[in-house]
Amino acid sequence: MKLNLLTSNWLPFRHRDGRIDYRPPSALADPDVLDLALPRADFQGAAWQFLIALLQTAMTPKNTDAWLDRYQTPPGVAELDELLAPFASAFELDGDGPRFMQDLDPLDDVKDAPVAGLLIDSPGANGIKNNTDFFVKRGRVDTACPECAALALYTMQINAPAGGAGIRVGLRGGGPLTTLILPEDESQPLWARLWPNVMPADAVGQPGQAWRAPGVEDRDLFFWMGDTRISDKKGTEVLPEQVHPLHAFWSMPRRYRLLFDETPGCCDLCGREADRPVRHLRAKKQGANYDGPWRHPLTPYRRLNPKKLEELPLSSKGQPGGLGYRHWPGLVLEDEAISGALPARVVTHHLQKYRQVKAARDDGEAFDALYRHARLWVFGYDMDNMKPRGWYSVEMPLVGVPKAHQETLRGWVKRFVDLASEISWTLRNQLKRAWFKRPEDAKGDMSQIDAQFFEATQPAFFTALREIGGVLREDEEAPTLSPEIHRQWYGALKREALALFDAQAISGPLEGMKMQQLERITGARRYLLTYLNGSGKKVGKTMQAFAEAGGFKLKTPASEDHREESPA
Amino acid sequence: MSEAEQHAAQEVADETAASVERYLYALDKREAFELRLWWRRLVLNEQELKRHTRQRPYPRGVRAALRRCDTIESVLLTEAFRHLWSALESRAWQEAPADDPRKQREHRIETWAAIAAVASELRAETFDAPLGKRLGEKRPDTGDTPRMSDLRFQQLLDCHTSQELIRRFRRALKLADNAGVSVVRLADMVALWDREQRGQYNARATRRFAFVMSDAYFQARALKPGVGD
Repeated sequence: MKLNLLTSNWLPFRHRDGRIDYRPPSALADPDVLDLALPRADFQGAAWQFLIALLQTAMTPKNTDAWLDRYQTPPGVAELDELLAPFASAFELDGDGPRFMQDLDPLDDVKDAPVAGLLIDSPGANGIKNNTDFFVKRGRVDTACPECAALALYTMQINAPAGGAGIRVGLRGGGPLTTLILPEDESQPLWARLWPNVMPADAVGQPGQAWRAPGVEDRDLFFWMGDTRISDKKGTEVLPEQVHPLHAFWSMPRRYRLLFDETPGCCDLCGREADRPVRHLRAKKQGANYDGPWRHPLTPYRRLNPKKLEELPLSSKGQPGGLGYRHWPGLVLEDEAISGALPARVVTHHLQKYRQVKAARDDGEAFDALYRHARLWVFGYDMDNMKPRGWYSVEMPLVGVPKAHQETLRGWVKRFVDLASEISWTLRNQLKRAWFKRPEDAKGDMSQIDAQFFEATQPAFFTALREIGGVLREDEEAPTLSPEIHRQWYGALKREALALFDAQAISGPLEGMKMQQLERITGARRYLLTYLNGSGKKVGKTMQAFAEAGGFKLKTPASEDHREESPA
Repeated sequence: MSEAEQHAAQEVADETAASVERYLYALDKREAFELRLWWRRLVLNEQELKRHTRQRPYPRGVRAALRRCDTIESVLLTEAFRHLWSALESRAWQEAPADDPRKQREHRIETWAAIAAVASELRAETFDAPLGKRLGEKRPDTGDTPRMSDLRFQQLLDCHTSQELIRRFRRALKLADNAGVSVVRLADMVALWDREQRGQYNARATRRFAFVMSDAYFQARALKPGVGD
């Protein structure tokens, strides 16, 4: 049986009772379905986006009111099946007609390549030839079932890194981050977690795009329904205004053709038997070449130079050091003019929805909860050009506050994050001082220290963030943040900085150490303590300033010293 | 003794554990209190002692006998040590059963013998002053030399037997002019060292012997000349 991505039982869903069943996408409307359960983290992220894209295509709400109506009265499985049915012919994976996200041309003129090429974490042909697949190994995936091949194909098309001459990068740049909105309540069915990420018709498009109802034959929506837009010369770039507003969900920068094998085999990704597995594919250069001011609805962007509006915004990407709360403002708070942060449009829109439905607050109660208690799921590859360094997946609180208080929220969050950054900087320097004879000449990657520090202080930050959100939602004229929240944040940072220093600098036996070493270690620690205590005229300035801004008192150095030392 | 003096003495005699140094690494406050009282009776003359307690000083020879001992075994046989031990023990009898079980530290007679041997060298104390700090201070009449050199200090951190410890601590005290150190802090370090010799290291490295000692030492050394005194 040929795989159709709308009607076949091809996606593994996790149900309320823990069972995992393969069902068609419409199962997302089943209240018993809680989540997807894909065998790989990047597949999981892609499958979520696939379902969001389907909902967005099959049932885009007219406006925010219609969106809210749907939020309260979800469709049934049968209803969703009906809504999806018209699009079925665009979702065939195999066959002679158009194939999902594949080239209409059979690409008979290119050589067959292994299916592993669809996976981002496979070495390229050059890496295999030169034997440089040290960490990203070859030979792990030779056989893929059609289901996994379909997801691998979708994952590649939405995340594609630039692969050299003519091998096009994805619509939102290589290895983009994706941010999705999730309700805080984890027992919510999958539907309630997908729908917040669907935007109404009046908001989903970008400037220059006019809304029209999606149709299965629309070649500006599904590129694979027509001949490929080959990008072999200048002027063939694909710009936002040339395509359907929903095309961003179905972008197709790469030209592939999956080859189905008649020899059955076991899928190396999910372990299931497949009658007609995919072992090879054909890939060709010069697929759609995306250019222009693309803003994928689910991806955060930023302007490198906020003053130069003619420069294109860049999508945010995963970076070494991970994702933490220091990225939170850039992922949530729009600040185009100063820092250049452009959160994903779905996030910005979600935070504005509140204002739009406020008038109808009586029937907006369910949404109210979503607005107050939502999380942001951030995930994506950390890419070094074509090579993946890692996959990040983090959940953070999403704090919604009235528009009038956005600035205040940004200011407070900045104050908190800045303090953490400053302490982290000093901590790193003092560790260097403890470790090296000539710290200024010491080379090496110290970002691990930052990462550990931010990770350790993350829970405290998100606690503070929730309280900040609570204060600002009270919607008073002049909201103030209590000294206690400031003091707790300061206390958490100080505690973790000292703990990290001690663990890194003095965890081994000190008895056998050279005196110079001991001198460095004790000196660096005393400096750090003075800095953190805010004692010392110059050294303690940062803490003194924060304490003053927050309205709390730093303990006097002497007593603080012992407090820190005394057993818990 | 005038009436006023007597009154004052009485008040001081009621001085309790509250008057010892705030944070201790290996001793508890009652132990520290008993130790200080014993040391004062051992070292101070009658006039000085009166300011602290109504109790009488021990006879002169008691301290001299203790100072002549350089092994744990010989310390155990001295009269001075008998006084110290009985003070600690009687307290243990009276208080241990009812006390917080965490504070029921095992009474190590060898630990206290080492403490006695070292503490008997101290002639005058400065409240709350750690030994490490005193050793890191500038030697009087010299430019930039600490009372104890780096190398010697390193040896001090690296003692492996009680005998070695007694010898090195006594030498260190000599370099400190046998003064300017708190007897409680001094004993606390000996007890901490002893505990670590038995493999009981504090989970936090900043509360271990080598760190506490060298932190104080280098802090004193880092002070600019003139500020320290």
